Amino acid sequence: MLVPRVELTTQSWSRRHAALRTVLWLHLALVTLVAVLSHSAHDHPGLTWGFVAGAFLSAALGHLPQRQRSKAVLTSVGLLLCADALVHASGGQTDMHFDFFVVLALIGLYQDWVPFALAVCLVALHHGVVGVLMPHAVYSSPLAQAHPVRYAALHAGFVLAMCAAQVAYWRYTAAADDELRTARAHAELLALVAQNTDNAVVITDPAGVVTWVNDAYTRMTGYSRAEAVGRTRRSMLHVVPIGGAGQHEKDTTGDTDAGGPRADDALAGEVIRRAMAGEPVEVEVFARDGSRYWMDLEVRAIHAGLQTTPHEHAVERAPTHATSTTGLIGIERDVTARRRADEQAREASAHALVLAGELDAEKQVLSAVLSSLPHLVAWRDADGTLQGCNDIYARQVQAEAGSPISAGENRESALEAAIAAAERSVLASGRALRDQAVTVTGPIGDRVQYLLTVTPLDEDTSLSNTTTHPATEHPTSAVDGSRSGIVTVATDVTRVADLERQLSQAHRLESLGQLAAGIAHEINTPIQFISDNTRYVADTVTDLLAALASTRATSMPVGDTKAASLREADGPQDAPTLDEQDLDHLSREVPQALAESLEGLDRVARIVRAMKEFSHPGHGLADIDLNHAIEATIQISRNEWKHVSDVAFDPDPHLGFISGYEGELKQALLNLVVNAAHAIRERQQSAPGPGVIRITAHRRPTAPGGAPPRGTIAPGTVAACTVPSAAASEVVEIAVTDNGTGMTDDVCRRVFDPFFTTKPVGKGTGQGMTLVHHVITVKHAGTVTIRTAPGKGTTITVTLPTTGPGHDRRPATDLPCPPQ
Amino acid sequence: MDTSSPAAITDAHGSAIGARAAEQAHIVFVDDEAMVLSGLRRSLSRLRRDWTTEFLEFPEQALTSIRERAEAGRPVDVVVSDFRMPGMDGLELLESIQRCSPSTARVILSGQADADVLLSSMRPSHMFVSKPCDTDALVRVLDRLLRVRALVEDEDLRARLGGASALPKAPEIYLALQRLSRDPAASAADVVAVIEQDVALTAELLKLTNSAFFGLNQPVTSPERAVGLLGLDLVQGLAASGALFSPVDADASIDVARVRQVALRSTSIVRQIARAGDWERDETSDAALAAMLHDIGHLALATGPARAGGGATPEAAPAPACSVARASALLLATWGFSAGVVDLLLDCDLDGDLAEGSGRGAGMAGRTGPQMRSRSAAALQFARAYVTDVAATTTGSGDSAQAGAPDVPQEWWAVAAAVHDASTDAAR
Repeated sequence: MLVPRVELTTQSWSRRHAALRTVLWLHLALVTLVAVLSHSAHDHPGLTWGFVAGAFLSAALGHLPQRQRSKAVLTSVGLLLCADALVHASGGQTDMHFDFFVVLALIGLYQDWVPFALAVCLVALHHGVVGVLMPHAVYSSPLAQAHPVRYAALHAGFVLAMCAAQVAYWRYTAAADDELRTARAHAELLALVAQNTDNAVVITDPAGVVTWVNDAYTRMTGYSRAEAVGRTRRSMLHVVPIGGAGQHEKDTTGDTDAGGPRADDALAGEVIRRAMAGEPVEVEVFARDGSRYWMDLEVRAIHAGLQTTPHEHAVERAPTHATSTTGLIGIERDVTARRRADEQAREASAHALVLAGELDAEKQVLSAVLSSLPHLVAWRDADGTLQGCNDIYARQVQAEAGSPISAGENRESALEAAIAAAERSVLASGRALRDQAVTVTGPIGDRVQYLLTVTPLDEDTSLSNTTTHPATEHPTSAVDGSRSGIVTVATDVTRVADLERQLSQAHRLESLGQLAAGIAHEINTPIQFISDNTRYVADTVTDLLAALASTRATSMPVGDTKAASLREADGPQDAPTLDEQDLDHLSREVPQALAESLEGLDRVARIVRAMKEFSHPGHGLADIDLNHAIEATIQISRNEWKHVSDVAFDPDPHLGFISGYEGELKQALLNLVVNAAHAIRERQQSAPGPGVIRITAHRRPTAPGGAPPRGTIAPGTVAACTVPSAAASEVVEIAVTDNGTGMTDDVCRRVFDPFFTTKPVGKGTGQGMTLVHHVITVKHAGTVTIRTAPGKGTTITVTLPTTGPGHDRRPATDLPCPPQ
Repeated sequence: MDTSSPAAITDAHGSAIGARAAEQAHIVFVDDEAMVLSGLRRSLSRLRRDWTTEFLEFPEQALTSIRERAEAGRPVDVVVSDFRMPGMDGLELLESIQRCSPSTARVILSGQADADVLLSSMRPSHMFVSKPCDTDALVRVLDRLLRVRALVEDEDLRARLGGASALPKAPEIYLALQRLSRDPAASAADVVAVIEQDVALTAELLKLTNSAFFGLNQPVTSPERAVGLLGLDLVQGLAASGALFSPVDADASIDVARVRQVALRSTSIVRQIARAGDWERDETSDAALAAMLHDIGHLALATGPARAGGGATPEAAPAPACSVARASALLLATWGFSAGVVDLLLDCDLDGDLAEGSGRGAGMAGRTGPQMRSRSAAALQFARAYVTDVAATTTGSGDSAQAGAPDVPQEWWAVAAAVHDASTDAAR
């Protein structure tokens, strides 16, 4: 704007206005005085007193208008009229015209162009009109009187120039004002910030005496602004000595400059010196009330022009060379919380380090443990990627972390193939595979046997990352357990399997040994009469031959030397005579003797054969002729039952073969027969009566819906699965019935318990039925059921699954073994 | 099994009696296996047609038959039974026979190998023969048994001897043995030392070892040997369970302690004589055992309960019809002791009676028979006579007797005197 109206604050305008009105009244008074005293006024009294009256009117009406401008205008008019009046009162003295410039200067105080414009107009008007009409009233110089318009214009022009100058002045002032205003606004803003910040701001002069502090300072240190201003910061700084509580800890009554001990002062000075040197200073200090906090102090010097430099060495005393420093500004932060947080963070991190160290150690221990385990251990995630394993596993399976389940390229390792197959099947099905036997042949032909267990991990553990996530974050794993990974453990049980084999062999031999006494008797008895009979027959034949010879001799001619010698040789008293009776007797007895002997020999042979079969370890899984097995069992146990009962066994010609472990099966059957015989003997002690052991064995179809139970693979087999074919819906049922003592309920319940026996000490080991149970249910996947009534007898029924006429065996690599 | 040479019973010991008795022998065989019986029958029919034999399949039958004959006064001589039989088993059978016909010799012929049960059968049976058994050998054993039985003609005596399955023992010795048998820290030597102190214990132990059950190839003649062969554990077990060495009280007719003392002393004299004379081992052991068991007949007779049915009361025992030695020989033969010991006892048959103290004075000078005795028999007789004589006369060394027994070598007296002194010193 060309002619700005520079805003004055209301306060400022009012003061000026008041001043101007005062000036106006004074001026009026002056003019009046002059008018009265000056005789020039007599020349033109009308003009003079007219303008005086006009000025008086303006002055008097000055209160009326509301607006500033209007007031200003009135006052301006009043002043102008006064100046006019003065001119007239002085008779147009040229020098009196200078009053216009004073008035204009005064009007300029309103800093409004309207009065100026008015003034210019009025002057021009006045000088023009009155000058033309009555030049002598306005001008005093003849030249001016002669040319009044010209001089009116001249005067107006000078007035105009004056106004212009004023306006220029306003403009420059306005700019400066603006700058000042901006700076002030800025300063106000900063003051606002400084006031509201949580940091304490202390502004001191170069000597360190506080000139201003903000509220935060008061809050922090306890000194209010009023107390702080005028004191040195140093005097209000109470440093907590390191290692000590400080004497001021309990001093809450404040302190005086001179009262603080020298040490405290020295510490404070030290702190401030360091801060001013630009060092980061963090120190623990006392607030005025004695509470302690940590403070971070930063001191900057303020230079002229409000620049601050942080790294200026400001001297506390009178600045000698740092003349540009106009003050110091100190910013103090309460860093107690931060320090605490820092400390906690430090502690936490130290703790974490310790934990990490412990974890590390534990991990090492676990690794060492895993590696020193003789078992193969490995764990894979839900995709089958190997997450970790121990050394043995890595060696055997040739896998490393991150590798997927082996596809079985390495055909050389049956173990690897079996493990891979098992892992795949468990991942797919989500069900654990426990204790599957895998047999591998080593490079030198040695057979090593493993028990393989693959189990899915718990649902809330995931191996996808190395961290564990709760189930909620992995909804799939919460639903289906197989998604969370698997653990594989394989144990070398070769030795155990060997021991088991030896143990089962030992059991068999032991039970055989227990029967040995009976078997010995069974053999001895036939031998007795066989030898008797044979001797008898031998002697009889000798006698017969001798008799025959003597008969021939007697029937020969007497002169025969041979006959004579014969006669001599057998004296009459020694010659066996065979009369009719004897011959009769012999012809009956001899064939009988021979027949009985043959029968006895047959019996011996049978027993020996049965014994041989029993002591043989068995070939593992093979086809068994059940009828034959039962008969052999009956044979070998004859001595146990023959005194107390009969055994009735009618072999079923359609029974055929069954797949199983012959040695163990015969062992179990033997135990059943022997138990039956013992039960009968016991019963006969109280209730004599014939004892009968009836054994039956038949095939029968399984009940609908009752599929034969899946089998387990027992040690000793090559890794193979026996999958029941669809046609396997038959079972073989073997029943052993006796009319012995029977069992009571609680005996029956415990009959399969190891070491449970009802026989006296030394008579029964309690292992018999346990073995039956193990052999039938575990080894053959069959069932054992007992029907018994005390005093009546017992029937033990064994069912064995058949695998059908053909054998369904497929190698493990093609078909996952059915998990249990 | 008696594997010794065929019976050496000479005619000097009354062969006529023996033969007669053998002819009349009645033997019963019991076995549940019919074919075993037929086999035996055939063999025996050839070997000893002179025996009367019965072959019975059923023990009840056998018992009835035997009882009937016993009641009729003609008891069966020997019963040979199997052990395991249905119905009544061998043990029961023999116990019943022991009660109703105690003079019958009881033999078990069995193929069983079950040790526990068989050992428990030791008591009712006299002998044990295991199957398979060569019938010839069986016949020899039976023959011997019959002949020796014939030497004791008194049926009642036979009954009493036969009924004795256990002999009375000195109580303190018996108790000592029981204690040792339960002591796990006992040694074989301790047990042997106790057993040797008592005649009955020695006899019963050796009866066990002489049974065929153990299959020992040689006759066992000393407790030490027996314990060594059987094993200490077995002996202890048997003793503790009562299967062997049962506590039997003697009745008042006999002084068990004295019998024991005589036996012990004479045994040691015999041993010393044998050592001095450098005898063979077998001869020595036979002689020592014979000396030990010489009076076993006494002890058997002192066993109260075993009595023939309806026999006289123990106190009113009639005068025995044979000597102690013969009775002992019978008992030992029945128990299957070796021929050597049995014959030795028969050898020194003194033809005296069994009354207590009757041997006093008669031993030395009373031999008038022209019979030849082996030196061991002579030594045995001498020892016994010395002990009984010298014991009776508490003074002196029996020099007077010495003069009256010119057959006895001089050194024997010295030996006997030495032993006597030693034992009296020990007793003091």
